[in-house]
Amino acid sequence: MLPADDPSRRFYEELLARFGSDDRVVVSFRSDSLFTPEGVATLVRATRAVEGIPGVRSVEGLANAIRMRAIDGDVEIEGYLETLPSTRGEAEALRRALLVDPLRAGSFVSREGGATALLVTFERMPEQAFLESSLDLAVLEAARQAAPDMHVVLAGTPHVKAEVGRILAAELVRMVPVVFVLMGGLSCFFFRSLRIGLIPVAAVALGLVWTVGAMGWLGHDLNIVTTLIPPLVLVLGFAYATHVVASDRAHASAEEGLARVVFPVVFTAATTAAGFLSLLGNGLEVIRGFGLFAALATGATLVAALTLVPLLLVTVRRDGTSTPGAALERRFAHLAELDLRHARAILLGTASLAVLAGAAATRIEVNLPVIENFGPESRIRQAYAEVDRLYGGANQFFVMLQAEERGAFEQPAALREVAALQTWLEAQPEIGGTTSVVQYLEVLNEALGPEETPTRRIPDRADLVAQLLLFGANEELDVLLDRAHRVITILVRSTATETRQFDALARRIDARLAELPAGLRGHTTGNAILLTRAADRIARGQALSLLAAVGMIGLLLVAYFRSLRLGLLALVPNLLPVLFYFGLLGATGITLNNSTALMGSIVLGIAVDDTLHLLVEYRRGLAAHGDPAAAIREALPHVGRAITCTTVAVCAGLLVVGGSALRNQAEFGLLGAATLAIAWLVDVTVTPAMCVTWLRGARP
Amino acid sequence: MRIGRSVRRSLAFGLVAAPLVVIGLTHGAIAGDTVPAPGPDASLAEIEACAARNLPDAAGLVEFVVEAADRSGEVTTSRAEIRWRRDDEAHARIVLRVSEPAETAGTALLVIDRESGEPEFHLRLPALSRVKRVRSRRLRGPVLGTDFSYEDLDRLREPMDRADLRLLGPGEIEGRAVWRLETRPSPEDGSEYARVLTHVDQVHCLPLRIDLFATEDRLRKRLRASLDELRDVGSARLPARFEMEDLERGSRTRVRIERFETRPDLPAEQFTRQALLDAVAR
Repeated sequence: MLPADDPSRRFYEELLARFGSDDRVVVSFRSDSLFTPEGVATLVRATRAVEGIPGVRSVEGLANAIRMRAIDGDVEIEGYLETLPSTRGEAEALRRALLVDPLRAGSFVSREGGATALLVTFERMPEQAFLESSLDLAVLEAARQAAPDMHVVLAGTPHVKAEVGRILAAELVRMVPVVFVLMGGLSCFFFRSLRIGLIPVAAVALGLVWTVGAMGWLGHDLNIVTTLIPPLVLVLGFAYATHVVASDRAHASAEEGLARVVFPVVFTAATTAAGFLSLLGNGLEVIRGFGLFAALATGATLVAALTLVPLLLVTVRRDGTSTPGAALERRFAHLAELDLRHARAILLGTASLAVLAGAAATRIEVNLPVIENFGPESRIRQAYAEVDRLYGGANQFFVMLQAEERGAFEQPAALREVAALQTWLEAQPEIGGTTSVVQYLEVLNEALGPEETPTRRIPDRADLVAQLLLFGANEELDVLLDRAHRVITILVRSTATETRQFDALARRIDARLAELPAGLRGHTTGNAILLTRAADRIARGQALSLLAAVGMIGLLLVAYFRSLRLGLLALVPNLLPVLFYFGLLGATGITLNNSTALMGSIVLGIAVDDTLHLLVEYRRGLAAHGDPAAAIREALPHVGRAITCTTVAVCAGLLVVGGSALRNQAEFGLLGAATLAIAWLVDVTVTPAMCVTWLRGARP
Repeated sequence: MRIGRSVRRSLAFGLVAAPLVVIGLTHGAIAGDTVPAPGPDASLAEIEACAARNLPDAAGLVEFVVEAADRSGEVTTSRAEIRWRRDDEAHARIVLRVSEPAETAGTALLVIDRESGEPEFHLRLPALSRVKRVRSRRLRGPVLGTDFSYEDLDRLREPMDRADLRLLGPGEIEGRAVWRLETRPSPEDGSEYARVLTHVDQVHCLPLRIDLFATEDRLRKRLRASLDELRDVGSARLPARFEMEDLERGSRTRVRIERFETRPDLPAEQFTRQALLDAVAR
């Protein structure tokens, strides 16, 4: 998702180019009878079963692990399971041997020896292909079938990504019909007509088909950001269509109803689309894609609102239907009176709340919950907790160290730097363990080394290191050392799961890497690090785009009012819901991520829509009566039904999303509903108060 | 000698790759133009006989250069020499000695074939000034930091000596007529391959290409021998260059033969543990 020139992506590409795919999962097997003849045989069977799955590139585990040791002046190199243990005593001896092997203890075998893990690396493939093949589940299923009596769990970034994809797809299928039914039902209630009430829903459906169809036609897959476009279409499309329907209901002729509403609807759509198009300047391709398709979605919903809706309304008019009662309009007339009487108090109260919201907004943190995105009782969350506990961390990333000279990592001094760095890394609370070529060399040195009493330590001669590596080069080292011995990686197992934790950890590591001696450079990289950087940039990019959209809307308002002062004042009620939204984020501790940042754009879109309709009607009334109070008395009841219907229906839809199994989706729904309710409150109280206080001269 | 079975990911010996490759390819060498090769419709027995007639001499030496490129294209180059000798029971003894780069120069490995089928290995690392015997029932994994695994080398040593070898028929590779031979290791073999397809050149009786499949149709590795340049020694002939490509690791290893001699006079004393110890003492 990051652009090609982003340093994080460059390091990651280099990691892949030098050391291959890091798409790995951990399959953990836990059993009281693991280290028995039957348990070990089961483990071998499970390993072979997983190895046989198409798409699995390699499997590391006890069944494939090699043991190197000195025996009576010779060196023995054998697979740990070259001969399967046939007695409990042999199995127990195997367990003890593994627990003192620095290459295996804590990585393949849990520190207490009651569990063992397979590290499964997948072929590099597009995420969509991985998702469609459900490779992660195939691995889990194969392992469970082969080891039915063991507790088998699966963890790792590829599994998390696939699980999120599956949940989103399932919820899309389940929630969209519910949202449509709910919004349709509420629309029917507000317009007191089944046929009329379904018209906005039909417009939304058409806009959705056009947008998703265009994405498919242009070969653009839904990704972590563009997956938010359907709810955007739902919200905007419903609002535009509802205003057209409401205007039609309020006027005697269809032509008059449409003419009255065309300008605010087009103006709103133009400002919203312009805001989205401003994202085309963003450095992230996913954000540019989102900007393009969100603008397209805005256009599609506008066209649907101005074509399909009037056509359907004409049919309804021809058949003759009842018009909604005037009860709601009467309530808005009362509310207008209230606003007029308490305009200053409303503005003062709003200003105080705005200050509080602004203060709360300063506490916002950028973070994408990864494992915390799943419920506490979810299978994946429990699997992560277990793998974290047993192996010191389910998430893996790399510290890549590069030297300038070939053979640099044959120098004992460089290897001691690596060892010191590993010691520092393992002292970090989020890190459960590390592995590098240093451990391999120590084992090789112990097995072949010069001492009569072997000890595990880094060889003290560069030529010995080179010779040991020549002797001991193997596929396990493929991810830890390049063939020129110029670049190495330290594999880090971490319990960090949220992107803010990774970000903080990566920053600390980067600071430590800056202390490396001259000639050595280091970077943190890996799938988890890349996700952290991408999530951070996406969230910040979307938040910045919001500012761009605000600027664009301000310009258009200035143009509309032909006055800088009036334009900027009119911007205030548009911005207030956004400010309150970010205040809510800060106050509740909900973090800024791709979903919650997008809600800012949706809130702005809806706020602009409702405010513009009110302002246009207000100016029309001002032109007709010359009196701001009279204009508000006319404008608020005129638009009240549409903005209330839109808010209630969209809030109901978002509350459905609030039931998502994924935390950030649920937060998106619940926060969105709360904020849209606030936006409605602002529009029916603050905007009228502002009109009669600061926009008295806003006559066309 | 049967080596290289079952375990794909392992620590392994880095030194015996090249000799076995060379001897393997030499094993298939044919007597130049003096012995006519069987025609395109040859039977499996005729093809095997063609290869068997051209065993290398009982003793000799080969000097070669290995260029191993990793997936990023970084190349490491090394130079080595192999000496081999067959004893009275036709068991092979091989000594590999690395001469370049400087930091590994002098590293040597002695491989002694045994009747039991489990060869004996003795390793000399010059930095340690000692010779160690290596105990292992099976050699596995990649060797010499290259893309050859011990199983590959075993196959190359005896490409025609497989009980399950099957002749698929004639074919063509890069404009050359070949015989296509297939083996399918049984699960009990613990092979890293499901299928091995060997293309034997019909003119020289040399393996021109060997495709090693991880599953029925997933190509894992490909060995290519260049027959444009051949090394002739006596009646034997072998390709001067060959290359193993590992499609999974994204890496490749090129071997270039620089010198190939048959030396029946190579003394048996050079092929002993004591000879390696004497080299340490020097």
